[in-house]
Amino acid sequence: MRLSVDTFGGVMIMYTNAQYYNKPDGTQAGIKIQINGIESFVPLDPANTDYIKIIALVQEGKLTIAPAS
Amino acid sequence: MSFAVNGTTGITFNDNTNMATAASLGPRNRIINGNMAIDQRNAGAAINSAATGSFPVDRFVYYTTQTGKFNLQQNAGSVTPPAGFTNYLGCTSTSSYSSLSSDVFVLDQKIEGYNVADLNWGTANAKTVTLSFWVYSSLTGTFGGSFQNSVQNRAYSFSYTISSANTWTYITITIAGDTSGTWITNNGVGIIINWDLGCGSTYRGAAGSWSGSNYLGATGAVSVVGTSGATFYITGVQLEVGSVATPYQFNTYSDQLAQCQRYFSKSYDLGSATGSITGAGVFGFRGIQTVYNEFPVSAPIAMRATPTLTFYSPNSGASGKYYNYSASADVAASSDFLSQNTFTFSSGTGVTANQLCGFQWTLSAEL
Repeated sequence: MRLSVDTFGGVMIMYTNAQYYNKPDGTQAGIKIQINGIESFVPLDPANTDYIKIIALVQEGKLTIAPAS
Repeated sequence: MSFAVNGTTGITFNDNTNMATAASLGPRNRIINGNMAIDQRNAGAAINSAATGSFPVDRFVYYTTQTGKFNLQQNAGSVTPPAGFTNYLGCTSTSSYSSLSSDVFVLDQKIEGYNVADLNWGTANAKTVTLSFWVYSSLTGTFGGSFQNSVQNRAYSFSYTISSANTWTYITITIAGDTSGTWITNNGVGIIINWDLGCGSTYRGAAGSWSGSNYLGATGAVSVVGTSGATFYITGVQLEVGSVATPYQFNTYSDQLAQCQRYFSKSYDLGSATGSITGAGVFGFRGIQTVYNEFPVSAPIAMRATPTLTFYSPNSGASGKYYNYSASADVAASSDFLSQNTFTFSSGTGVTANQLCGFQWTLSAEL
């Protein structure tokens, strides 16, 4: 697993405004987030590169994911 | 066509094409879109003042610590490509920038582990590989790049020489496979190949050997970012097993597009950039009920991993939106389900029965 683009010396794609979103049954579906200003839906898949980077940012305290509304 | 068989060099055809290994006779190029023909995101348009993570053509990505130092574009500068090619990837420096030691300016392709699993890197049986490509620059001198593993704690810096400015030069680089480190062989990052456009000293190491460092290029290499207007064009990129560079392996356009779509796909017609204002390729629908209209959309082929999904309004190009033609309004789109093969679109509350709506989408499962 590629842990973080921080291995590129802080080369970081901008991830902002993260919020979990749910399926109609209330279970978690993914993360709604802006990636370099583009609003996108990121799955909770450990093989998804955006998800890997988002979790790395969260673990580093650089990003907070808001709960689903 | 006649040919010669030699126990050491393999088969040589009378056009001097040499096939040194049995693997050379089958599909051999581990690089996808090495002839830069597919550009789904930009449809040939320039990425000016490129930010990190930009894809100027499919499968090739640009990373930087300094936004705005390069313009990137398929066929930038409109020079004649090498014989047999019709496209190339062009990088143009926008200023004369002196890189800090920690700066990164790099073009790379990440090869999926499945596609290099047979190389046995990280074992005593690691295979030798040869990288070949055509390169053209307004600068001359020694340029650099590197091979890396997924976590960037193994690197092999390489260098190559461009002797004549503004002339296509064919480069071949043969390296022994890495017998150490961890090299992924699944759908993660197998091998990263970097072309250094002016990285700082932290990310450059001595060329010609494996190290346990995060090197993106070679010490002392030309810094393209250091000269305003300097150009760096590349095409015909091929990575193959063995110590001989064979001629570039062309695929049919449809096969190559499908290879790229494993990592990125879109609803837009191929001639339309993502986020553009166009109805070409739009997914149109009529609301069948008030509040909640949902339906599935299939990806062109199974993607590498569950992809990141983005909706775009065909009317404004705004992300996260669909367009309600009947109400003349962009409306927030959502999705309840994503997989490697399909996703759902959900209209939310922005549509009532029989209203005409539409959206564009992209899926990204890049490495």
